[in-house]
Amino acid sequence: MLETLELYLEYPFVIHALIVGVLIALCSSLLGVTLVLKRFSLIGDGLAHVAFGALCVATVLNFANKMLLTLPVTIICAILILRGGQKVKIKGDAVIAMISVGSLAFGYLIMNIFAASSNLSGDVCATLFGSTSILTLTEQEVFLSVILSILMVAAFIIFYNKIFAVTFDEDFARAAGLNVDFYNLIISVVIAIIIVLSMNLVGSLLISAFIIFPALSAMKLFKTFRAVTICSVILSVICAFAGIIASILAGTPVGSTIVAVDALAFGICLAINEFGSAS
Amino acid sequence: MKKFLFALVIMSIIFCGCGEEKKIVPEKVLQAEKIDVDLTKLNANMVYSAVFDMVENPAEYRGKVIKIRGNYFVSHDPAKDEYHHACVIWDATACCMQGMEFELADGKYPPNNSEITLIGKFDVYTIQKIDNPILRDVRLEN
Repeated sequence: MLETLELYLEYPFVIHALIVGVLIALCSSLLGVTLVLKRFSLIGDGLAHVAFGALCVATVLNFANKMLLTLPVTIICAILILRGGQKVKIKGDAVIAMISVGSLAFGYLIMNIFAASSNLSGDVCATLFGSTSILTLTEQEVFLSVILSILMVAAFIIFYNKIFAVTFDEDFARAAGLNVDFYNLIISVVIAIIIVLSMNLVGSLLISAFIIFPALSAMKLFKTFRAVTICSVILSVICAFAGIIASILAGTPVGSTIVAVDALAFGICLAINEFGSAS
Repeated sequence: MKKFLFALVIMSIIFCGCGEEKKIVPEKVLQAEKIDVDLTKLNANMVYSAVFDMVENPAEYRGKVIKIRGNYFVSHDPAKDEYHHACVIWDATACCMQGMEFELADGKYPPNNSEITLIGKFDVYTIQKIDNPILRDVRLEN
């Protein structure tokens, strides 16, 4: 097995996949805790479907770098859901559901009408389930992922205290003089970037699991925000790395394998928590 | 004793040298068997990704000898009345595929959709400013 792994690691696209996979895992787990605590666990799913719709439009329009369209559209929708959703009469979960299914249907519809590829079902399947897309990244995409990941981690570290305040009690944060809307906007933008990056790794249908599982696992082991965030990051990076290696060695779909490893980690954390409570 | 050891070392060197001499293979045979990228050792995901990499970065593979296994697929271009022969590889989820065009050295192509293993030299040809990868001087391996 080690010889096989050694052989596979000679291919540059495997190294690219590991670098991008670990970076995405790190970024998604940072914000995962905030999303779970703000009861926005399903926003990843909704925004991923928006990104799918935008990706379909970019494909039909023959964009060389599809991220140029997917990223701004997803950011705008994230802002609409997280900020606008609070002001309109339609409640948060309904807005997410509406935008989510609407984008999914619209994307698939235009892909069918203006099919640019002979393998339409293959393209759709690859986008929804990730398939091997993390192993087929171009150098430009790897570079962009690294830059965006660095920016996201920097934003999280700089605004850590503000994000912490906004996550737990918006009213208190507002009373304390914080510009809550601004920090919610930053959270929205960062979430959108994570979603677009994660699409390459696990596909748009599995993104939620990628964001939520490490946070939930960490919450079973630790109680403070900082400890949960750090544990979530460590778990997410380990699971992504192990998942990518396992999928490469076993020849299984990358996204599904990573999510399966995340679910396994959650099971272990749950067992540890239960065992700890019982004893 | 020293003389005996010296003789033993000399004899060992000579015999070792003889042994290596016997293993020498003619250079032409070595060149014919040398495979730069053996895709048959990889699993479905890796093969798919490696072929994708070749299609995306053809310049990096030009002139290299590639060994590949997949399904044979022939298509006809009615405009130019040309036949294009390809080795098609599927990924693990069987929803994505990559094709590698090839030209057999002897021109005896197998039945359509049969599983084939090819060894050939990677090359690129350009049509309407788009680089297309192709394996040339290909021989089929059983």
